[in-house]
Amino acid sequence: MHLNKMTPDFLILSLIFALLRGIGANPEEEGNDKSLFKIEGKVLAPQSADQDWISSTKILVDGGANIGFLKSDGTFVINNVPSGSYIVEVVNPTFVFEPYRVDITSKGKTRGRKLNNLQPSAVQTVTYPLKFKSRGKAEYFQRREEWRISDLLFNPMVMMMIVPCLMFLVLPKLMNTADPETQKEMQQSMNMFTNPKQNMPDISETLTSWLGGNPAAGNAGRKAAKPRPLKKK
Amino acid sequence: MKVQHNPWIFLLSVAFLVQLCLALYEDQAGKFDWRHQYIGRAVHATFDQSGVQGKRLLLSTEQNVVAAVNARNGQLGWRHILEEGDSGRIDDMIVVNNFVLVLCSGGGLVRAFHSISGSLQWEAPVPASPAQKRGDLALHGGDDQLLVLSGDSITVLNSDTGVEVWTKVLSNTGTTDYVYTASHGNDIIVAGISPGSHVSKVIYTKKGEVKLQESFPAAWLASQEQCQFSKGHLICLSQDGSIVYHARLDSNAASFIASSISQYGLQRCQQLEVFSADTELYEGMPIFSVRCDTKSFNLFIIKANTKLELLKTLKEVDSAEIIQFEDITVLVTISREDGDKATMAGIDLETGKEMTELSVKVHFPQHHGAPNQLRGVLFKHKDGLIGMRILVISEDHSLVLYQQSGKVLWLREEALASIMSVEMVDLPVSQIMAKMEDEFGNQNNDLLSMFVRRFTTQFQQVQAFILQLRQRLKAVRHHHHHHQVEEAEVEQDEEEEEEDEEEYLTRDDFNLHKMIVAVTSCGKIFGLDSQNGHVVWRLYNPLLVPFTKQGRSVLPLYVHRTTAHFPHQPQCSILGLHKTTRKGLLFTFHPISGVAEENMPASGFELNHGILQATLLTQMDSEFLRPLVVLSTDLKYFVYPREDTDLVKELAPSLYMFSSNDAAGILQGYNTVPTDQGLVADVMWRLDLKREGHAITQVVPKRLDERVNSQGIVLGDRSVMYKYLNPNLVVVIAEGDDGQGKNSFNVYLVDGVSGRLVFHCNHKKSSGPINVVHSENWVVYNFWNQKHRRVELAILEMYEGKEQSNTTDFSSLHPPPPPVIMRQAYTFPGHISAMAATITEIGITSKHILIAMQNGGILELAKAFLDPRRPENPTAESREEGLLPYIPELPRPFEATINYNHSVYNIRGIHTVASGLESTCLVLAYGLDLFYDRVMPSRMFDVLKDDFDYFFIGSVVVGMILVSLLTQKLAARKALNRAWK
Repeated sequence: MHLNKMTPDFLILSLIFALLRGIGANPEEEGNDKSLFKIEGKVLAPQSADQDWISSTKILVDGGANIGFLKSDGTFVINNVPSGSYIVEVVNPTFVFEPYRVDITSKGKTRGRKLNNLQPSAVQTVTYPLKFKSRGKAEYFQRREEWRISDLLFNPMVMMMIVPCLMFLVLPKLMNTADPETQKEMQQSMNMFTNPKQNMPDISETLTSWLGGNPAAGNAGRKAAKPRPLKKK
Repeated sequence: MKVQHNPWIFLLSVAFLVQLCLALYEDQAGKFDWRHQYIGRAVHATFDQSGVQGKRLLLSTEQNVVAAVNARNGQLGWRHILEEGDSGRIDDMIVVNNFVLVLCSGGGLVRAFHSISGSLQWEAPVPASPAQKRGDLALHGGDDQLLVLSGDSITVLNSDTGVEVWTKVLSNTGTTDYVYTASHGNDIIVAGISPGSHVSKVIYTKKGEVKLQESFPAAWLASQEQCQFSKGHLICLSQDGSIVYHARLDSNAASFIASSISQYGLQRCQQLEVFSADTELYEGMPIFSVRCDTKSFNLFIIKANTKLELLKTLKEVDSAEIIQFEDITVLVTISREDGDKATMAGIDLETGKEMTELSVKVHFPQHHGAPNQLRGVLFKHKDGLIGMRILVISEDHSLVLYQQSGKVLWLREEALASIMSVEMVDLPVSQIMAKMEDEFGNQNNDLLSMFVRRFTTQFQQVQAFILQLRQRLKAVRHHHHHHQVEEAEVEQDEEEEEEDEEEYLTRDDFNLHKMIVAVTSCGKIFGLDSQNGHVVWRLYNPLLVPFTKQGRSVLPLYVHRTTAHFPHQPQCSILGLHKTTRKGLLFTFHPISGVAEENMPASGFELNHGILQATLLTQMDSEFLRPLVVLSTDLKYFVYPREDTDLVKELAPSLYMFSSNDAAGILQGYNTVPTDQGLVADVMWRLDLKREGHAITQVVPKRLDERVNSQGIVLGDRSVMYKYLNPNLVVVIAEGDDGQGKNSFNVYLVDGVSGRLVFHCNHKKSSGPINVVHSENWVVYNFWNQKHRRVELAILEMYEGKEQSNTTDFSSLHPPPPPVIMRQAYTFPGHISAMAATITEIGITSKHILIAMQNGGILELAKAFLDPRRPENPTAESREEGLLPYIPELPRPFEATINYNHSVYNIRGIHTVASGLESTCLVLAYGLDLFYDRVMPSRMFDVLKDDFDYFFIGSVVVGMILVSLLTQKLAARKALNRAWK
């Protein structure tokens, strides 16, 4: 299904390479053909790399059949590689680099492509000489959960506790306390809380009355009108 | 392989992945794990002359490593590991200006590394040599040019850039081994030896034209080892050690000049050694030494008139070196003495007098063997006195740096880079605990004395506990500053170690602290403390050498008796070959104290024949010792200890052995027959596995100490599938090519007792390196798929089916029906150098597979990923069983790398061992580097985690109590107040 997506050029290219490789693997041919080629490339210095990243980095061809070392500018050349197809990977303890596959024809034509272990015949070429760019630092460690006040505050349970508290404590303050009528109202409602014998109004009812009144905080008249039925009781 | 990219499967697997990965927290790094880096056995060593003199040591080793070591503390500056095997073999190393030049003639490369930063300056391809041939390097034209003798050619390179100036192919390479090149004025000399016939030399001009080509007879010359080259001279010693031949190679019409040694009153000389120091003394003529029968060390010089002159005769010198410093030429020697001492002496070669300021007695323990090489630098102190630093490379691969005062500045035990086998031995219980146990052994004690004894031991226990508590508190305070010191140290401080060793080396609560016994290829045995990797004891047996099995050198280690049988002492043995006789050699020692067995000859028990097979019996004798049974090449049994022969005779009817003839591809099984001449093995079966030129490369049995406590797995439909648990099953791998350049290999599962072939499969177009893990009812192996050019991991699982044929025991002689084999293969994104499975005490913790990769990481992969029943299309049943859906590629998450950024290279083996905690498995990976860690395959389910926050829990509890008390008070006050109203 992936082949359909590929352009015909790629198909032909890969076919040619497959053919060439087939020839290369032929034993009679191999006997004569001893020419060795090289793989070239550059490893771009990762950000935040320390001084000795060059000496701690190496290039492995097929897991160490050939090994390349970096020059001080990050370039490398791997000599004495016979024709074939190889996995080229950059090894560094701290930084991660994506491995590539390099194909060398029996005539020494070299190309780099993305490594795809699942579909080895799928070709997605990359620039050659190879350019390795760090994908960042390897995340070897789990982040330990730190105790932060914000974590605690944004915890949903805590939020559920705090928001109603705020409503109870802050909202009344926000209301116009200068207005004597409101003050009176408050007094009464406070009385209701402190005096349990008195017939308690439903909390939800109180809340709705407050919330309903809140948007029209400026309109004192309407606000004052609503609690009035309570008074009549 | 068809690949389905189903996002749903992917998501599911990611979810599982998160669950299966057990990563470290950053602050846990180095808490339970340690890593030691080594370089191996030094072949070439030079003090870096650039910058501050003698600050850096540049070394190249047998393990294909080039490294810079800080001469002050022995720490690694930089280290480059070249290709493994012949292609990375370092033939020669030269240090010029700021560069280290190394020649790998097998791989056909010359590399130049910057001596300070370790970066590559240049790399030049040169013609490659075949495996046995060694190349040579030399400087030419005032260090501007580098002469490279490699692979039948002489190449001249620019030593600054590596650019080739010219290259010429040598003639007659079929009969002559060209081994030496040197510069002589404007000319270039190349010389070679045809053993038993003649010596050839070619002189090239600066431009590469042949100026002279000639050969001169040397019929007496039997092998190359007799000769040494130095300063344009070829110096040889006749085989009987009576005549020294030397020839000037830079002159026309060269020929050998023979000088009889007897004229100097010497005879039977050997060990010709040349000194390459650039000395102006004696007009720069070559200086060499020979050792003669009185063990005397005789220093000769070839004079300009071709005569030899005996410069100096010294008694019993183990190793010597000539050091040039300003206008002084000093011969520095080291000679071992009785006890752990050696004498170092400096002799001014001009005056022939001993320089008293350089002569010193040094500490040189017996376990180093003989010192092989000396390297040194001289320097002037501020007050004008001459100081020196001497590096001694010994027979046991160790590097020791001595200061002038004779103080050991540092020590590197490089033998640990070539560990052959490892065991982790439990530490003994503390003395008090041992006393407690003693009580149960004695029956004939009266009540009162038993009571007194119990009382005193328990009192002592309390005392010890208090002491321990105090120490622990001290240690906590001590720890931080100690940690920093440790980082600056490469090798252990011996004095520190000895402190409280008796108390320290006792078993801890969970048996996590063990003694690592490591056997190295040079015959040196180490006892390492598992907590920090420090060397606790060392033993050296120079006569013990490895033997070959399946193309690999092995030196197996057996634990006869663990520490669990107090008052019987633990015992271990190593089975190897005698260095000279090549017969079996058994070396027995105490694994905790590192003391060789008393009744044993110093070099060990010698067997009469070579070794065919050896095994430790599972049965113990009356002293809780598990005897070792060795089948020698004449098919006779050798039993150690000897007294247990009767026990083995009793067991003979049930004792079966098998051996493999690797090249012939034949597996042979034996039963045991008691005869008059002792126990003899009789061939019972033969299995010919030679197909298409395959040779047996691996025979992998199961671990003897593994316990399987689950007999089967429960399927989704609630039925049980029983595991095929054959303890005698071995995995045999036979590799080879079909003669047409196509590699393939076969995997056989063979019953080692009956020789029955349980299963067989073939992998076409696949090659090694193959690593096999064989555990419980499964086998995991990796190989290189040549067709798709990728690493694949295959899993085989064996099941008896829904019914178990014999529920109590397994018998190979009455086998159950052939098992059901399930298998699957996965691709693995990395190259594997070693694999092992985790093991735990009772075997109920899930298994993980540890994979050491070429990139330096050790991956911990859950066995659940390698389950052959992973379905391509998950069903409700498979989901209920917890099977992961099939994904062709195995994951390689960084979080599962147990050694995080502490990369370890060229790992050859991973040793796993169970601890006292069911959750925890101890791991030691060994190769060029060592890495030790604890892994918890099913997380730490049996004890609180080490990072458990006692302080937090404690403070919350205390806080709660305080708050409740406070609120109580407040409530009471309020109630009081209300009552007053």
